[in-house]
Amino acid sequence: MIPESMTDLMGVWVAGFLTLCVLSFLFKDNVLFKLMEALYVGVSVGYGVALTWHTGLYPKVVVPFADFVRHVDKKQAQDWIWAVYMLLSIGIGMMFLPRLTGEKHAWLSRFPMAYSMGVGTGMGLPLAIQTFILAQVNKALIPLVVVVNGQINWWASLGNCTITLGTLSVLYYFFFSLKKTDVVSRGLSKVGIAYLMFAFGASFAYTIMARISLLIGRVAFLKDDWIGGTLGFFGFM
Amino acid sequence: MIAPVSKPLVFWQRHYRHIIYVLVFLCVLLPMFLPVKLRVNVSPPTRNVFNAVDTLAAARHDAITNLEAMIAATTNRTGIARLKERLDRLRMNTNGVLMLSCDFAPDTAPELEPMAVAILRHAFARNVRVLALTPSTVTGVQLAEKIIGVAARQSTNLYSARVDGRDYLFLGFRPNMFQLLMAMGENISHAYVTDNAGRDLATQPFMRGIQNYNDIDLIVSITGYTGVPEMWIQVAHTRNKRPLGFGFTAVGVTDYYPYLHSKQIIGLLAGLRGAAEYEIASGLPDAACGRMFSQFCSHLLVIVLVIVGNIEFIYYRRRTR
Repeated sequence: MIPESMTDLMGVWVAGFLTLCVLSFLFKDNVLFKLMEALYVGVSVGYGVALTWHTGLYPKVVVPFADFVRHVDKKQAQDWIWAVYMLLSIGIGMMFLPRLTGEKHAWLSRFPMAYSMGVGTGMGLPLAIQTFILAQVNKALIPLVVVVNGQINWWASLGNCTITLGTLSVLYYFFFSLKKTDVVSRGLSKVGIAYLMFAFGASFAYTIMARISLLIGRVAFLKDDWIGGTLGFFGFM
Repeated sequence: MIAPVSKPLVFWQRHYRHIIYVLVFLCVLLPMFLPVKLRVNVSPPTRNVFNAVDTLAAARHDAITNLEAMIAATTNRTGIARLKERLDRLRMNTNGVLMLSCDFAPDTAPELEPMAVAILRHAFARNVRVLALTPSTVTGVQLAEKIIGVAARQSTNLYSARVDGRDYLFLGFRPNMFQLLMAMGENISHAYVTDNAGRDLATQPFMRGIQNYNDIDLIVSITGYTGVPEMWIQVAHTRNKRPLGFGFTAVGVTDYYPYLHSKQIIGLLAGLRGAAEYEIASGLPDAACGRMFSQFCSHLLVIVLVIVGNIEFIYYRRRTR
């Protein structure tokens, strides 16, 4: 892509230079890589703080509260309830801050922490049980023989048997409290290990695919946007 | 006694890391100059996401028909009023509404950006309205904004340029993802208040027919962060019973196939390959398809290196015996 302006071109050059700084780590650890690492963390945190203020605190706390104070004479009972609720919320939030002042008042942050954990658990637990346990167990209970229009679908049946055997053998493998001395127990555990190895193999292959994809993205950027874009901007392409 | 080692082997042992880096780099770079187009088969999980986007208008039509039947069967006046209110909202977007959650930042963009672009172009080509957001990551906001803007303008002659605030809306980021997703189940405008540009959602024409997840026909989350899909499944599928699809980076995609099997999600796009499959399915081969040959060559190299590594391992084990 050819940059539209000199500012865009400078941005592309900064990105290109920083990409090379990161890739220089492949040769060996160096000051450019360290610089890039620090820059990335700094920019991310700074940007995050600014955006959290502009998208969270300012529109949801500062603006409504300022509006409430400005028109306080016209407010009704429900608005006052809202204001008390807001003040309580802000107060609980502020109690996180003593952690920054040192050990002496850090204990105050335990209250909002406990509140957050309580609310989070209360909200999340029923959904988590429904999503990750009940739904998965429900769908793990599948027919071993699939019959379609009075005829056995051998392919689907084989798939269901494979899933069932895998689920049972892997679960059995993780029963560490049982002594697995007999042939059946050891055999089932070994089948479980085999399933796990297949899963790790698939996961490892996907990891390679992901890392290569990231490299492809960066190399494509260097080729098309950095070199190609610069040449195109100055009319050489 | 150990036999003396030849010079090439000594060189390999000292510099094998750098040699492998150069080989990988060449396997990525050189195929980019070759006009080879690989055949990409569309897998069922990708096809399911494509079909869901492709048939959003039909899904909306079905939802309207079902609601009309419910209204005809209901005798409770309050219930009828509520259902009619919802019916009016559904009729405002007859081509359907897609919620696209761009939960990715620059660190995973090379894999996920092509997915987002492919889905956006397909949705725009079908006149589907798109409500985009970035609830999980601060650093992805500008990236997502750029992607949506480019897809809306560069129509590749498939659709006229889409208008911000009418055909699509970008909500951006808000802190506390889980609470945000839960709050959107009640009212999206109350949860977000303003869009990413700071415009009041209550006055946006786009939001007239959209109150909560009930008015969204399909939710697709494109992410590389573990934990984000789990939140979407809990809130969008388990709690609000909405159809849900994912695009995930290849590194963690195996964790989400069980949800596909349990039908908690309708489809799954796996890494750059998933993006290429979607491009092929929608008939718009683009960046992801162009990078498939580089990926093919790199994978071949990895296979060769695994074989060479094993031969080397066996060779040295025999020498040391």
